[in-house]
Amino acid sequence: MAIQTILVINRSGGLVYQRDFLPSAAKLTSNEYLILAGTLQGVVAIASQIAPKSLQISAKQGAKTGSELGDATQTVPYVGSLGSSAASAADLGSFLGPDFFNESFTSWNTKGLKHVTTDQNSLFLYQTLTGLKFVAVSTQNTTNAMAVSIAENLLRKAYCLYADYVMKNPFYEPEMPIRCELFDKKLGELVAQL
Amino acid sequence: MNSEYDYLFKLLLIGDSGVGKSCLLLRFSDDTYTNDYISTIGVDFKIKTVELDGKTVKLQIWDTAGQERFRTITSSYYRGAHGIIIVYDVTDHDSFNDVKMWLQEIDRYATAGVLKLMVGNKCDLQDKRMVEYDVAKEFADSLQIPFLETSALDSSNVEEAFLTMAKQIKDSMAQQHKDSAKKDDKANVNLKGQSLSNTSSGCC
Amino acid sequence: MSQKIINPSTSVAPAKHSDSTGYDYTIGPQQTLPNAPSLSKATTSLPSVYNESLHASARNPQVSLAAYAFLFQELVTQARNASKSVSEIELRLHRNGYHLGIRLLELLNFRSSVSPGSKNFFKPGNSSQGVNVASSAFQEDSLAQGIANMKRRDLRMVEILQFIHGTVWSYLFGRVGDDLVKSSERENEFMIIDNSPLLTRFISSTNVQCDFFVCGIIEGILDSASFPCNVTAHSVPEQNFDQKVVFVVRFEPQVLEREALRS
Repeated sequence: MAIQTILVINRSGGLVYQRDFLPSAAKLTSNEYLILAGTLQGVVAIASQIAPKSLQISAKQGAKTGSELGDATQTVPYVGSLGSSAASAADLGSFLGPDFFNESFTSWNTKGLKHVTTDQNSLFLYQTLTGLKFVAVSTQNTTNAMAVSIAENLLRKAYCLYADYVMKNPFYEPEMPIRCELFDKKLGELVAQL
Repeated sequence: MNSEYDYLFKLLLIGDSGVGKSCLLLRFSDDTYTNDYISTIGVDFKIKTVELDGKTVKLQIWDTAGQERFRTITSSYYRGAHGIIIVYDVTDHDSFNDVKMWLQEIDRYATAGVLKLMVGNKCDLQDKRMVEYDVAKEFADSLQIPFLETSALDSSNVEEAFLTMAKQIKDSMAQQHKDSAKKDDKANVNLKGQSLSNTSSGCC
Repeated sequence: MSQKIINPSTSVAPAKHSDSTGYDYTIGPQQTLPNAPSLSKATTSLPSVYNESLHASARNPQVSLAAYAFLFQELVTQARNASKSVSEIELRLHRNGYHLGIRLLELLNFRSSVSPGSKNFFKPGNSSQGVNVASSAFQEDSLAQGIANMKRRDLRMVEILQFIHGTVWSYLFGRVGDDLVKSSERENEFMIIDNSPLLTRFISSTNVQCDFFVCGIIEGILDSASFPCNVTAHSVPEQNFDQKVVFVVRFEPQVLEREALRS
């Protein structure tokens, strides 16, 4: 599985970052990517509305019984192979250890879209608590649960890089297209480790 | 590589079904007109690239469905919009009356202080006109919303409607941009030298 | 240099004093318990666990890098909003740093001359009521010793630069500078090299050189130590250190003249 493209979609459904990692990939124009981003935003909104009623109810009950996140909240298993060897602590920004995330984490994307498969590609979507979306398109179609968690681990790291190299950059304007060399570079390193 | 544009603005078109939102958009983005009526399903996008003050700005215009049955999803499109254009049909008084309802929607879902613009479409159909310019103008003034009449058919005022909005958004963005000026800092600097660190034994 | 230099950010926390006011002039502000139990004061002045702050950061003073980065980000943004050109932004950052430098020189010089916990420096006669001659003589002795042990002013260019490269860098960034280099071309030029500047670590290089803030600090220190000079920052990306920055210190001619007279 190789990552073909990574997209970052802001809260309002605008595409703020797009990068191809494979030269072979069929290129879309920037406008087409923008439309893809907006459409995904809409699909996510629709998907969250058609979540089965039983799921929604069990989530609510979970919240009532005191469980912090509700029963419907899934945790994503940690995938260790990802970037633990090559990247030292300093390489990944303010991570405290060689691999800051070494345990499973909660997926905030409880009722939205996570994974889309076509004959040629798979699309993985990681949604942050704030509504930001990180999207990875891979070259193989896969329905493997492992692949989904690898992708989520990867995108969560991308989110961490975003928090460091985009949000801490005084020259970045929030919600606007990302143009940060360091973010580009670190993201490239992250994907290359795969 | 990525981002050949500096800014991405999200504009939203709302209004009753059939007032000509999609046609207006088609005129602006492709400068064409179609008489065929195809109801928008969910949302449609058009993207227009414009140059403002030397910056490349992409206007992503979200053309929402006017039909009632799509209303539940539409609300999620308001989020983070920079500007909202409310369209009504000058030949249809009901669509003008519904503008109030659309404004309530904006108050409910959109960011406070979002730029608004009211547009009366189909102003080329003078003989079928039901909403007078003065009435609409007065209404818009009372709410302090800019107003203009357009025609997607003969393309009058369409470009202006969108560009005015884009300019206003650009101006409202707080950050100024002065880092564009280049300068050469390495011109007369020589960075060759000899390390003194080994002599700094007692220091650190 | 024979004096012992204390790097506040790296040195081990000294023993706590029972009458701690929350501020130790040799270290800086400290976290103390709001009402230190009077019991411990009465019984013993030995450091006890009860006097220790529960907060780990109080024992090992550290600042979150994120907090540091966000504060600096705001500083840059402010400078940016107030300026009309790139050089003006840099000038503003430089000026901010300059004021910091003037203050830092005093603080760090003082701290490096007083050993931590030498509480009696300010109040020599403050021992218990039954002062006997021997102890007061000892007190005066230690005061005199303290003064004698105080750090001398740095009079040479290399000394003051080493002070910046070592003490100042450790205080500000938690480590010493990566290298101190004398220009092989010009007599009055020195370079302080930082391979990965902490402040601008998350800032993608733009036309604006944010390290001018650090330039200001260096220049402030040198100016108030009577080494008039001009400091500029230049980023020199290298294979392993793509954010490497060189701070070029260019002393005024009179500094060189003075140096020549002294030697």
